[in-house]
Amino acid sequence: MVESDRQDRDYECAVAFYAGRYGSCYTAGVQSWAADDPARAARARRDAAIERRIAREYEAVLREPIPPRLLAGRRGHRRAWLVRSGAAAAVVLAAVSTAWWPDVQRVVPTGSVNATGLESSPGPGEAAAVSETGAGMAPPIPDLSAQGYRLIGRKVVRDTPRTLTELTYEKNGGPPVRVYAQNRPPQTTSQPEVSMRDGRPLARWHAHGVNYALVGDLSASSLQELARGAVGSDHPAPAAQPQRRMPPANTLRPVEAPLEEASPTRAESAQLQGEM
Amino acid sequence: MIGVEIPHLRRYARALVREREAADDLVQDTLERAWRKRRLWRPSGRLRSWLFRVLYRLYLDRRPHLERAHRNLIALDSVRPVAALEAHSELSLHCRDVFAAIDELPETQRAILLLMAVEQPDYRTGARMLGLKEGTFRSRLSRAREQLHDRLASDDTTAASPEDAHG
Repeated sequence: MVESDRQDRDYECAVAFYAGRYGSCYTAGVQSWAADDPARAARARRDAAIERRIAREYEAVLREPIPPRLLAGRRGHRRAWLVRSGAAAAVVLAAVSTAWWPDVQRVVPTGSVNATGLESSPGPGEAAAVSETGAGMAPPIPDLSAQGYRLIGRKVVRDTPRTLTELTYEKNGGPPVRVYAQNRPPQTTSQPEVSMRDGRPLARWHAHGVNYALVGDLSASSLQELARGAVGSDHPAPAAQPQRRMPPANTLRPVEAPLEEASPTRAESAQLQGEM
Repeated sequence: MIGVEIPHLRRYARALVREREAADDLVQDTLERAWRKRRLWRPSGRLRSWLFRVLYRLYLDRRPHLERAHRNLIALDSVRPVAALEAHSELSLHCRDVFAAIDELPETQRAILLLMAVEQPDYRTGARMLGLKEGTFRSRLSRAREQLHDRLASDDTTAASPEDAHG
C-alpha cells in the first residue's frame, strides 16, 4: 500500500513536471525516475500533454467578462423570482402612485394594495366609476408571441382613477415577465425606454393610448429588446373591452378579465392565483 | 470575495458541461445554493474548494437533464469557422479524439481528470473540491488516466489499420 502510494505520487509528480507545473529543481529527480521506467515516463508525458491540451482549451474562460447575471447572483429558483416579481410589481405600483408617469393624476389610495396587487379594499361607500373617456377600458394586449412568450394571465390591479392592468407572460415555463398597462389620453407612440428603478430595469413605452411598463427577471438589454418586440408587433389583441364595473362591496378581489388569446388551464389559473 | 472565484467556477463548469449558457446556469445555481447554505462554510476552509464541491454536487444532480439537452442542441460557441478547422485539421482531429475519449469516461472519473487539468490541485485539495476522500480521488484519477490511455491507444490502432491493410 505504501509502495503503491509512493508510485502514484511519483507518477503524479512526473505528470506535473512534464505539464510544466513544477520548476527545474525537480528535473534531476524526474529524469532519474524516467530512466528507471521509460515506458511509464512516456505515458506520464502523454498524460501531461493531454492535461495541457485541456487547460489550453478552457484557459480563455478565465479572461471572459463575467455575465451580469452571475454578478447579480440570483436568476432564481421559483421562490426567488416570485419574490422579485412581487418587488417589481411593487415598483410599478409605487411608480404609478407617486405620479412617476407624467401627468397621471395622483392616486389617493382608496384601499390597500399589497406588493403583488392582490387585494384592494376600497373604503365604505366607495364605488368605482367607469369612465366614459376610456380610462375604464381594458387596454390592448401586447403580443409577445414572436419572442416566444405566451400570455398566461391578466387582471386588473387597480381600477381608479385609471385602470392599471397586469398582463403576465411566460416562456417555456421560465420566470414570467409582466406588462403593466394604464390608459392615457392619446398621444404619439413612443419607443421603449429602459430605466433603473430601485435597482431593477424597467421598460416603458406608450402605444394605442396606453402607457406600458415591462418588468421581468431579465437584463436591461433583453428587456428593451422584448419591449421593442411588443411595440413592433403592433397587434394589440383582443379589442378593447368594456371594463367590468367594480362591486360595491368593501373587499375587492382582483378582476380576472377574460382571456381570449390564451386561456390558462384550470390548474394554471389556480397556480397563478396561488403564486400571487 | 466570491467574485474572485467565479471565473474558476465558470471554467470548470464549461469543461464539464461544454455549452456556455448551460455552464453559466450551473455556476449561477452554485452561487445561489452557496448563498443559501452560507452558514455551512467554515471560514477556516478554502472558499474555492467549498464552491467547487457545491458545483460538482449540482452537476451530478442535474446530469441526466444536461445529457438530454446535449443530445438535442449544438452550442454556438462549439461551432468554429470552417477555414480554421481546415487550417488545423490534423490538430483538430486529434483534439476531438481526446475530448471524445474523455467524454466516454465514467462521469466521476471525467470530472476528476478535468479538474486536475484546469485547476491543477494537489490530491488533498482536489479531493476536497469534489467532496471525496483523498484515496478515492487518487484511485479514480489513476483509473481515468488508464482508461483514457487505452481508449486513445485503441483509436490509434483503428486509425492505423487501413494503412496497414494497404501497406
